[in-house]
Amino acid sequence: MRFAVVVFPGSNCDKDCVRALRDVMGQDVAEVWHTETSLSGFDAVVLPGGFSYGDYLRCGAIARFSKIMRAVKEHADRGGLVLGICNGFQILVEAHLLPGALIRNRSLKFMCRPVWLKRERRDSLFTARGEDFLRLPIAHGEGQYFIDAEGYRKLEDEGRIAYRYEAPPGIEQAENPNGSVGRIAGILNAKGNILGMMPHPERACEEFTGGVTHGRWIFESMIAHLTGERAARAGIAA
Amino acid sequence: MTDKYLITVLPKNEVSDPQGEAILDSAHALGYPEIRSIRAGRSFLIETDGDPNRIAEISDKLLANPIVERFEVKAL
Repeated sequence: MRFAVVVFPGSNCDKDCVRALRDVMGQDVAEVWHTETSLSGFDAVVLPGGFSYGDYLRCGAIARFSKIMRAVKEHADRGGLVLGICNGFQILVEAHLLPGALIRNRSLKFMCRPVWLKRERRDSLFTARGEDFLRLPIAHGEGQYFIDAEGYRKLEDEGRIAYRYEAPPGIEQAENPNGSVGRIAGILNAKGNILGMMPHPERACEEFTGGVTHGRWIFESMIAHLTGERAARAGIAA
Repeated sequence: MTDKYLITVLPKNEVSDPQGEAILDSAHALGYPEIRSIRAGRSFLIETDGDPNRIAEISDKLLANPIVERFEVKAL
């Protein structure tokens, strides 16, 4: 499958995403600079973590207006997959492609550590593979997910909460690393083809970066979905 | 003619403001127990030759995130 990793000035997880997708997952990956205007030919787009535009104004607030974001929206409207990780998630909420906002961590501290997540959806395009509990690193200062009560109910009712911060039974973990509403770590759009998440799956794809490779499950899910879609299209064409 | 505007952006009341709370703690520690609350935000000083209505528009679109913040435009 063909993946685009969008690079903004100040992105710093773009190379990690390329390595995870190309070297670990064996996909065709291109880095796409933020001034590009088209994403045609790509099956999936990743908005990586980092500090786009120096986090000036608000995280993601300036990147939202970059040229590539119009193409990201068009790609999503066509049904293409979009994965926003950390700063990429912040950009997606600023762009209103996902609801809510990401504000300063409750503790005011930059949190950089592995955390446990619980998968809330087993049937989404991003979460179908793997197990219910994942251990992924977080690294953010502004990861407190905020949404009003009505918006939160809607996310719950529509099954759009993909991941919450939660450890498997018997393992201790501070309940909520950043103060997010409903311990939300990742959410889906209504159509289910956009996932925004604060934890970094691309940093948990190889043994040497911490011993667990649970991040692969997310990329495996995306690839499995895209492979199935392509096979279905080929079937129709035949 | 060039007009000046001061735009103040603050977190909405229902949104937590850890920064404001930390500053409040510090104010109390410095001997100002009478201060009841502090909300931390940002302000922007804008000079423009255009339509003043466009200042509110850009405040809503760019300077503030209306999901978590409110803003006030003051002509100087």
